[in-house]
Amino acid sequence: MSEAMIELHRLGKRYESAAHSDGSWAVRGVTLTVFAGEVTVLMGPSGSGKTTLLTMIGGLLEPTEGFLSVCGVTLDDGSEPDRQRFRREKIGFVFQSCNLLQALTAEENVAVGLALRGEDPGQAQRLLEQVGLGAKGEALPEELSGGQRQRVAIARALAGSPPVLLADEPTAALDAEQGRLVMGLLRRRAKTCGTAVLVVTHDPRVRDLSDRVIEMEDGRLRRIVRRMRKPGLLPSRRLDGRATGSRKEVRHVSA
Amino acid sequence: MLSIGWRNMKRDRLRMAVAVCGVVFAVVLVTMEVGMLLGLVESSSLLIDGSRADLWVSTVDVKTFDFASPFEERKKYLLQSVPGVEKVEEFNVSYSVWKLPTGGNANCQVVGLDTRGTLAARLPLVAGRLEDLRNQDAVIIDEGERAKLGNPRIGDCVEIINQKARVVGFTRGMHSFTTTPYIFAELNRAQKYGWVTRQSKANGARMSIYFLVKVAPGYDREQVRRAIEANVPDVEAHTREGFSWRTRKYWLLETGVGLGFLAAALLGLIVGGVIVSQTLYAMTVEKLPEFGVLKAMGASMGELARVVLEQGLACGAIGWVVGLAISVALGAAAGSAGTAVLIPWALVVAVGVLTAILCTGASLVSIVRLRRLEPAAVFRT
Repeated sequence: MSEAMIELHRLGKRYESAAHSDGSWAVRGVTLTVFAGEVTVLMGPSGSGKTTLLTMIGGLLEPTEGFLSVCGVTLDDGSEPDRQRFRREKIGFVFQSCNLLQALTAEENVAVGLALRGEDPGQAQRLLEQVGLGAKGEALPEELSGGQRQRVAIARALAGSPPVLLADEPTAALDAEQGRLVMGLLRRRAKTCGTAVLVVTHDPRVRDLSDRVIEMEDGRLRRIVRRMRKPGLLPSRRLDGRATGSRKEVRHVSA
Repeated sequence: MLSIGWRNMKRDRLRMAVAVCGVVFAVVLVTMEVGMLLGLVESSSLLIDGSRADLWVSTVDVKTFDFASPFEERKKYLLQSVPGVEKVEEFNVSYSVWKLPTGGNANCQVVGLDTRGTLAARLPLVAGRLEDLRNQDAVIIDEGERAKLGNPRIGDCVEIINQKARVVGFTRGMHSFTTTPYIFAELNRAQKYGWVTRQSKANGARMSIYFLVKVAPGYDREQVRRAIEANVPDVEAHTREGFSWRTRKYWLLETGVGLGFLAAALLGLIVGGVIVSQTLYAMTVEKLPEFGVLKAMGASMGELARVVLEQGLACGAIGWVVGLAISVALGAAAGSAGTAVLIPWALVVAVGVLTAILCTGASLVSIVRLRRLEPAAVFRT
């Protein structure tokens, strides 16, 4: 059994609202465990609470209720410096719009991630090579394609080998080929380094490269689909929504 | 961390140029205003600082070099009898009127000096000789003041309160604080050219404005100063440095001239600071998603503040160098036009420190904005 990296128990987040006296719940009663080496995909319609859940796990937002532990760290009473340290050491973020620093080259963007984690910025080139961009180190973000920019963002997130990788819509702006490349990188990282990868997406093509798909609606978990791959079977090169070489185990979650 | 701030500035050259312009504006204004003030202040005590006298003797309560009252010349003999006084020389300053070729008049200050003496300031002559002042009706003027006096040339005959005078030489850089030109003349001639000395002479007794005193070797200057005040009635003796400071202090503080210059310099700092602050803020707002990413990745406020400060200080450094270069050029141009602008190293360093403070202050608005930035916002962009 793999080590539990993310543990949530009846986690909830409520925003103050003028319309509702008890506020508006973005996430409520979420209980979930994500294991090392697992790729978990969080799906659901807009406003279902996926991103809010991701930001709470990433230590960027404080939960209103429930229990949250990431890599054994609970941030219930954590100060901002504690949260900063937690994010530096435990979490790698990949954003939908990459958000690379426009004034820096690809290599420098990765070096920033390394420097923040106290690692040698000289490792940036090696990380770029891992994502297939060894020759693009000197390129500015504006000189790269959308897929290449996202791969640089992944290299930056991998800097310092964080045990948890959180990705928000990493394939949304990419074509099928680039999307497959990006998800392949995340999956390879999970399987080779034991990183727990949690991906928020609307993209149905991502399902096939995941170990588990969690569907959310109105801030609650609705369904967990565990995908069981045959041993040794590589992920499909097609991301057209048709599952290949896997079978499903579906569990409905009661509200 | 890498020098993100500097890279940001290099990439956004238009904004960097605007911010640098703001700094240049502030640096030039501050340097020129303070430089002009220093130039004026120096000119206010030019003839005191350049003198080789240990003590200056005047009537009691003289506030500044330019506005002294006359006293009887015979007090010179009392001064000479004070123990420790080695030498006494007369030195006069008196307002007067110079007749212009157009028929109009120009105010001037006649300086009467002992051409055989050794205690008055040496005249920096660019034409003529000091001995020429001994000739009939001879006067020397400053070449930078010629335009004010109708552009007289060497040998030209002129008129000073109905008295004939002849220009025999030019000095360089001898400007008064009051902007009225100095007219240098031999003591006896200066008596008839100056309003105060001439009027006093008409009353019978010959009057003097200052006496320059040389203290004998082995005597303490301060003791001799006190002895003069004790033994010669109705006079005040000043050390050279003390009289220089009294004159400077009068113009700087008591007339408000200094405050006026400093207020203009402060205004330059404020305007420059606002320009830099607004430009840095616009850059910060534009890059909020990037700062949000850094914050999400665990960058501390100190690290983010460093990026903004780096941007501000980069603009400050460039603006400081460019602003000083412009100020030096303007100062040279002003100097050749007769306005002294002094830019000593201390001013260069002080303006550098002020620029650093200005840019740090201008960065604070951006830093406060970053402090309020929620890292979670990066997921909504």
